[in-house]
Amino acid sequence: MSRKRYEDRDRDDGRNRKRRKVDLNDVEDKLESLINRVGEKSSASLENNLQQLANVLEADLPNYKERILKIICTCATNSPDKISVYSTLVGLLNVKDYKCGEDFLDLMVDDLKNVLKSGSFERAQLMIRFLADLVNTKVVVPSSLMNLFDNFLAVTMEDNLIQVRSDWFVHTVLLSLPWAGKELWTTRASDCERLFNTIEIYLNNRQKTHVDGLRVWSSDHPHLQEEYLDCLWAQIQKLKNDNWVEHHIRRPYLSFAETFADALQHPLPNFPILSREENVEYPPPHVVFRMFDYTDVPEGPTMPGAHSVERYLVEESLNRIINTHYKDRKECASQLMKFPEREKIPLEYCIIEVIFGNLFKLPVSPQLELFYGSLLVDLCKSQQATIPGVLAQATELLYERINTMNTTCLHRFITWLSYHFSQFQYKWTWDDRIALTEESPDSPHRKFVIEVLEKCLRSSYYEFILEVVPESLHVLVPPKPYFSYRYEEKSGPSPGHEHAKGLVDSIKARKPMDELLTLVNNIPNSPSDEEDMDYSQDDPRIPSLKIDVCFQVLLRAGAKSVSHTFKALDKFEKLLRSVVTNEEEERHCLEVLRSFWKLHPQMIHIVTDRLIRMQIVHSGSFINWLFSKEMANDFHRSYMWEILHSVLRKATKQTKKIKADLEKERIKLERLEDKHKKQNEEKSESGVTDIEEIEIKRQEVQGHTDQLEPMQDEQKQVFIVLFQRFVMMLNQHIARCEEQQQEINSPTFIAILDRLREVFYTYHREIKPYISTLDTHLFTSDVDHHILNIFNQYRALST
Amino acid sequence: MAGLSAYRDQQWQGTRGELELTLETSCTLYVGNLAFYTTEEQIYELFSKVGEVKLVIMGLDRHKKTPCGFCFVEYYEHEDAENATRYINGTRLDDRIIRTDWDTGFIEGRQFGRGKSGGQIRDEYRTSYDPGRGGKPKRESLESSDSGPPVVQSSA
Repeated sequence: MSRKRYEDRDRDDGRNRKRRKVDLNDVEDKLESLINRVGEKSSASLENNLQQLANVLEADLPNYKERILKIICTCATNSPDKISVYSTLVGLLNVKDYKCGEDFLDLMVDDLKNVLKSGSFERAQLMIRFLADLVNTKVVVPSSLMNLFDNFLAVTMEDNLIQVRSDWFVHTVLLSLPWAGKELWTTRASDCERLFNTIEIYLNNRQKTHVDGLRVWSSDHPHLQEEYLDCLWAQIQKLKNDNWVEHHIRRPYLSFAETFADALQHPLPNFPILSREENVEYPPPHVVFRMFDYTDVPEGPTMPGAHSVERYLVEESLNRIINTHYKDRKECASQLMKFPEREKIPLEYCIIEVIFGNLFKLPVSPQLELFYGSLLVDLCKSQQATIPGVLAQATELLYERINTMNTTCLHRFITWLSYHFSQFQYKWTWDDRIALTEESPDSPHRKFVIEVLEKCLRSSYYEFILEVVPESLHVLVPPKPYFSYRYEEKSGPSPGHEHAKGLVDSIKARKPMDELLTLVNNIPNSPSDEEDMDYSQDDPRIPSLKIDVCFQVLLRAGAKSVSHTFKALDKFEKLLRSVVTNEEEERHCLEVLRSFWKLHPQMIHIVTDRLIRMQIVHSGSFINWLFSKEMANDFHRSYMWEILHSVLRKATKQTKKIKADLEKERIKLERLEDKHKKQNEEKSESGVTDIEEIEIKRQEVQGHTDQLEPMQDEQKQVFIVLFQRFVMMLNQHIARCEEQQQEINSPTFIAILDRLREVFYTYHREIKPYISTLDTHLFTSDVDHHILNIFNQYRALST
Repeated sequence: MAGLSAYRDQQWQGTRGELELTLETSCTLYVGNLAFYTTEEQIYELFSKVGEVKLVIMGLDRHKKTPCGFCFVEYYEHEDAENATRYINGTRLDDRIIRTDWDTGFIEGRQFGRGKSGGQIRDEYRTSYDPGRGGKPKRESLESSDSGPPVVQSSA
C-alpha cells in the first residue's frame, strides 16, 4: 500500500467520523428542542402535540434512549410549570415501551439523590412532585409512592428531632398532593387517612417559637398571617374536602385515560432518606404574607381565598418567575404579566402581593431590596393602565397598617417608598398627610412621613421636595442638609476659636505636618468649653477640646462634598490619628462628626464608613457609641441602623472572604499531598520539587489561618459587645418600667427587640458558631423572658 | 454577569482583549446622562443601595471645572457594580434616565469632558434643548450654560 493512499484513507476516515458526529449532534439538538418546546403556545392542541412527539421519540428510542430520557428529566425539573406535560409524555412512552418507563425512573431517582446531596432542597421537592405526578400517567404504582411518603413522614417520629429537617419532609409531601392526591385517595383511601393523621399530629405538636419573629405584622387583623406549613395544610385539607377539584393545574393526561388503561406500572426505585448531617442547611420556616382579600379587588376575577389551593399555586408560580428572572428586571416584569392563567385571577393584585411578600420577607429578603423596587417601577411603566392603581392601593393599605408592622419591615417600607417616589417625581397624595401636622411627635404615621421625607431629600435636591410637598406639610420636612461648624469666626471668641483659627491659618499657609502636629497637640485635652454645645456639660464623655477642634477643622475643610471630605481625611490622617488613640477618643470623634453633620445624616454615614475603613474608628467603639446616652434621640432613626449594618457588613465580609480563600488553598494543599503520597508509593523520581511546592503551599495555608484567627476573634467580639449592649439597654427599660409600674411592652421597647432580632436574622450564618457562647454567657435563664424569646426565635430558624 | 454593553472607551491604550478582560473584573462604572446639578451625595445615595461605594468621581468641564453630566462610581466589590448595572441602569436620578457602563477604572484626567467646549462631546451634538444639561446645545452657544436646577413642571 503506498504511503499516499494510506494517508488518504486516514483523512477520509476522519472526515466521516466528523460527519457522523455532526449528524448525531443534529439529531440530539433536534430532540432537545422538540422536548423543550412541547407545552408552549401552539396552533395545534397540546394533546395532539404530545401524541406526535411520543411517536417521533418512539422511532428514535432504540438509538437515543439514554439521551432522550435525560432530556425529559432535565426539562421536567427546569420547567416545573410543565411537569404534567412531561409526566404525560413519559406515560405515553411507557405505554409504547415498558422498559423505558423503568429506565426513566432509575435515572430520575439517581438525579434526585445528587440534587439532595448538593443541598438543593427546593429543586428536590419539584422532582419529587414530578415523580408523584407519574401515578396519574400510570408509570408509577400508587402504593410505592405511598411507601415513599410513609418513609418521609417516618422522619417526624425520629428521636431528637431537628424540626427544620422533619418540616422539609412534610412540606415535600404536602407539595405533591395537589398533583397526586386524587389518584392516591381513589386507590389507597385508608393509607391516605393514615397519612393525613400523621401529618395532623405532627403539625399540632410542632414548636412554633419562630412564628412571632417572622410576622410582618403583629396583628392578624384584617388578614391572618399564618405559618407556612399550617397554611399549606389548611389549603390541602380544603382541596381534599372539595374532592381534589382545582382549576389551576393543567392535566393533559386526562385525555389519554384510555391509552393509559393498559399501561404497566413500576414501583419507585429505592430511595434512601437523607441522613442527619450537621452541616446541611435546611430551608428556614416562614410566615405567609397576605395583604389582599376578595374585597380589595373591585372588578374582574375574584381573589382566591386564603385557604384555597389556587392561591398557593399562583403564588408559587409567581415566586418562581421572580427568582428565575431576578437578574433582568425588564424580562421579569414581562414574564410576570404573561402569566398563563391570568383570566382566572386578579393577576395585578397577586403580583403586587407576592412582590411585597418578598420585599418584607423575614429573616431576610431573598434578593436585594432595590431589585424589588426596580421591578415595581418597570411594572408600572409597562402596565400603565393597571399596575400603578393597584400599587397605590397597596401603598395606602401598608401605610394604614404601620402601627403593627415589624420595625425591620417598616424601614424597608420607608426605603422602598422614598425610592419609588424618586422614580415618579415624588408624586403622592401628600394632601392626605396634612392632618399629621396636628398629631403628637410620637405618632407612628407622623414619624413615618418624616423619615420618608428625609430619605427623599437624599435622592433629590431640597427645593424640589419643597415644591412638590404642599406648604402646610413643610413643618415635617427636615431642615436643609448643611454642616454646623462650631468655630466660625463670627461666633467666637473662645479658647477653642483661637486654636481652630491657628490650625486653619497654618493649614492655609501650607505649614509642614510636623508643625501642624505640634500645634494640635498643644490644644488642651480638657473638655471643650463652648457654651452652645450640644454636649451636656456634666457628662464625663464630652469630647476633649483637642479632638473637637482638630476634627471640626478637618471636616470644615472638606465640607463642600464627599470627595473634598475624603481628600481632607487622607491629607490630614496623621493629625487625626494623633488625637484619636483609644476607644473613648474614637467615640468622641464620632460625637464630633454627629454634631458637625447633625443636619445631614447621610454624611454621618459616609464619613463613619470611611473612618472605619481607615481604622481610625473601630466597630466596637461605634457600637458603644450607638448605645450611649448621647445617642438616645437618634437611636431609633433609620440612618443609625443603616450605619450599624454597614459596620457589621464590613466586619463580616472580610472574614468571609479570607475563609473562602483558606478553603481553596486547603483543597489545593490536600491535592498536592495526595499526589506526593501516590508518587512515593510508585517510587517515582520527581519527589523533591513537590516537597518544596507542598512546603510553600503549607506556609500559604498557615498564613491565611494566622490572618483569619484574629479576624474571627474580632468579629466575635463585635457581636458579643453588640448583644451585651442590647441586653443592658433592654434590662434598664424593664427595671424602669417596674419601678414606675408601667407596661413593659411600649412601642420603644418593641422597636429595640425588633432591632435585636434583625441583627440575629441578618447575620444568622455568622452568629451561628457563637450560639453556645451566647447561650451560656449572655442569654441565660436569668435574662428577662422578653429578651430570651428573641434569642430562642433565632435559634428556632435552624433547629 | 450583566452583559457588557456596546460602549467602549475610545482612548483605551491596550489591546481589545485586555480591555474586555479588565471590564469583566472591574469594580468601576461610568455613569452617563446626569443632570449638571446632580450632586455627589445624590449619587452616593442611589448607588449605595447595592453595596458600599468606594469612590465617586464627578465628570468636570475641562475649562470651568463644574460638573458636566457624567461620573465614575467605584465599588469595593465587582459583584456590587454588577448589581448596579442590573437595577440602577436605566432608572431615574433627578428625573433623568441615567445609564451605566462598565469601565476599566479611573485614570487621572478622565474626569474631564472631552468636547471642544470643555464638556461632553454629546452635548455638542445633541439637537434638543435640555434644561438639566445647560440648556441649549454647546455647539450653538459656548457661553450661556445655566446649570441651575429647572423649575418643577406643574404636576399632571
